[in-house]
Amino acid sequence: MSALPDMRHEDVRGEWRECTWTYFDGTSRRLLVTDVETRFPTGELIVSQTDVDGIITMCNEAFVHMSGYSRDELIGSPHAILRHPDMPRAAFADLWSTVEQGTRWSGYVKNLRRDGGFYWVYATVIPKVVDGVVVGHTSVRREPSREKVRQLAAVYATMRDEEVRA
Amino acid sequence: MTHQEEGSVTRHFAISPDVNIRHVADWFILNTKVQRMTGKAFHATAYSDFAELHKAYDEGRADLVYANAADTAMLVRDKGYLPVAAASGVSKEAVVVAAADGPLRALSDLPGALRVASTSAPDVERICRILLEPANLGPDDLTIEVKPNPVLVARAVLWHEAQVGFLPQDAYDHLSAMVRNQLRVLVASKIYVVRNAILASPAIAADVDAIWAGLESMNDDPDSAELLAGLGAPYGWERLTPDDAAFMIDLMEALAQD
Repeated sequence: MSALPDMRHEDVRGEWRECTWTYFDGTSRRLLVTDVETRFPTGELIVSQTDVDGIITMCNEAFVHMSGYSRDELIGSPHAILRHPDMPRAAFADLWSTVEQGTRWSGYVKNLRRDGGFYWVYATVIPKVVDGVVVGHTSVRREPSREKVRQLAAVYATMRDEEVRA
Repeated sequence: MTHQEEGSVTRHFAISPDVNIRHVADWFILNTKVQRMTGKAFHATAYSDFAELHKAYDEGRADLVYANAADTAMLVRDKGYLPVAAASGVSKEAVVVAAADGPLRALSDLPGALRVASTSAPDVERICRILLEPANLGPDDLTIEVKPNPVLVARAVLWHEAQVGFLPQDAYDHLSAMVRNQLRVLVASKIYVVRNAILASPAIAADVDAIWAGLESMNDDPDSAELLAGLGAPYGWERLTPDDAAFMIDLMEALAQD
């Protein structure tokens, strides 16, 4: 994928910490991350579709609202634009190995907003199959249980520590 | 098959329990219009429960149907139905209700196991189950008792036979003010992407273009405005493409609980 632009201080709300995130293809991006959470809007769904390379081709209004990006910024960007550094790489490796087999994947994900904040979702990713070939993915995110978020935040922190040490 | 024999075959218009029962006569009027659109005989049947409708699907007695999203996914994916149209700007939403005089005032009040009254509408149940997930309630926590119609769902909640009820938003809106005042909406969906669709069976594939042309002509016909409102399509019909149907299939699969 083409390199994502670095996050800018003027876009961030709240106190931030800075880190550099290196993606699966070797490109990297400066991230500015805050501890400001945006809670998932009750009763809504975030829906998006990507092509086979993970480039966003469709998104709904809830996605625009929750990510903090405009629709124009999202369409054509890689879904990895939402990748939060607190998420372990192993979670996404599991996601991709699952959907590449043509199988649905579900899990709890902490996403990074444009303003450096975050939001938790329960995400389901479905491969979009045409004539037996995976041509993209449909992703539906819904409001997670807070109890599950607490559990998974601790699990992910442990996994991230192990990944950093490795 | 000769042209004459083909003309003598009766096709079936299955009127789903999804339609507003108060406007079921409008669907029989639409059936008459469909016969004019295609020049072929369609026999309309109004189904009051989904088990009967699904039996009609299995027995080939549903050539044209206004299906909910869950049935749309199943019919297109498993039975080769063709997407025809959907109501413009109209989505299917659902509410989870409790008795206003009961102890449940918010999702956070819900206990670990729950007695639920619901109609058998599969899309509404799927949406409502998801609405309860933030309360940490999964499939095993719900005991669902199916009621024949939304009024009986409301009654089961009001009589405390069930702790909560699952209702389509439009059915909730059409309950009497007295009943609604005795209910409390714990959570309502604002999903916007779940829709009902008019579908055609493979047996009438040759008629799809004529049916769509007829439906589209209703959009600009002032005399059809009242009928369109009764059919739940106050802003007219829009063409449903195979991509739209594929999206609905993915969406319903994504909304299924593990």
